[in-house]
Amino acid sequence: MRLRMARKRAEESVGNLADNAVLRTVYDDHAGELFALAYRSLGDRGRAEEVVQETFLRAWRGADRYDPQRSTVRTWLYAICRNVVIDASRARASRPQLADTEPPDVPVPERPLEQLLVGLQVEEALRRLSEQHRVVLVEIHLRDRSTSEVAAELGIPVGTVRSRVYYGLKALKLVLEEMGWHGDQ
Amino acid sequence: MTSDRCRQMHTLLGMYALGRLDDHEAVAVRAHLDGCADCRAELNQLTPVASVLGQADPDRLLEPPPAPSPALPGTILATLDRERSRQRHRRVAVVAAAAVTALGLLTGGFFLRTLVPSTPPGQPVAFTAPAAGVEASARVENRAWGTGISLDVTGLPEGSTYNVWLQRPDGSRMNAGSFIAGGDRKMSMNLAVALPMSDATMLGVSAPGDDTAILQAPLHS
Repeated sequence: MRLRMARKRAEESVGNLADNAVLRTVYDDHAGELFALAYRSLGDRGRAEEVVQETFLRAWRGADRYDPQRSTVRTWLYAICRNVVIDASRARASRPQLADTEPPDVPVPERPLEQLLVGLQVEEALRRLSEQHRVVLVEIHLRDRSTSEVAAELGIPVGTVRSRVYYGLKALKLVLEEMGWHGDQ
Repeated sequence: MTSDRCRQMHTLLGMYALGRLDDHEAVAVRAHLDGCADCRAELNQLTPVASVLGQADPDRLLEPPPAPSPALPGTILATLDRERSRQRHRRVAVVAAAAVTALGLLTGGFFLRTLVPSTPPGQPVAFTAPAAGVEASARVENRAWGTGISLDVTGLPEGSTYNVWLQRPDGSRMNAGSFIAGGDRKMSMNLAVALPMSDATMLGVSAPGDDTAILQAPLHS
């Protein structure tokens, strides 16, 4: 409860990012995900940290333009981070690349940044689900395994697996919404 | 109204939304949906989630999520501190420039160069005898929270990790963070150490697990 109130305060007073304590709370809440996005996009830890740093710098400069009525801090930071990643990708594209040095998760035309971002968000949300829910969604949908196979492996009836899929999807929706997702990304 | 039939149907709706029912079962679900607005509404809730679920990578889920180095928040705070002082300088420079313009109208403007200084923050330190091919430069800055360090390094083996530290007079060290060298690419970083600059005698870089300094620069505070 106290944590939630601290978060709420950070949400409201983000215009006050100049305050190091507010900045630190915002960092603790969101930097991990921003770093994951940058790292998966650029495939390089050092550059990913530079992206997070630049994101916070831009957020700090533009804090007075943040409107809590229009977006959560998270979606706001994501939007900034996305721009920084795009800038960083462009900067890299303009430099010659050695063969075989391209990391696997770099956004390419067939896998644009938006899609990569959604994937990362879903993965983050799946990590926050209960083990029970996560296992059925991953095994059945992502690993394309049959319900009966998964049921046998878990030692539960097929009906229970299906019911966990249903409740798992509902839980996933709630977690995604808590993370600022509204089904339109 | 949720009937027993609907409750039963719910068990199938998740699988249906994911497109994982066989044809026979899918037909039964559709037949129920046609006559049940509640279940249709329920399905509408699930469909967008089901459609993005497939974009997750199950293998990445097994890996621990990548985390930034613990030194990053310090680096960000140090950068913001520098940005703040730069803004202050800019304000001072604007006022100074206005004064110069006013003065310049009177005197011909030869004060301009002396009144608007453009020194980067911090004081430079010199690295002693770096290995062949290694270039490094650094500036250190005394801050209210400790010491800010900006470090540029080129020529250390690409992909190797290095620690950056400040050394006290008694030889003990305080970690300032770590970085991954980029070979010929220049690595520029800002680091923060919770050690007042006056308490440090040396800035150094070494490989993890090896105390030998690969780069070192004495501090004259």
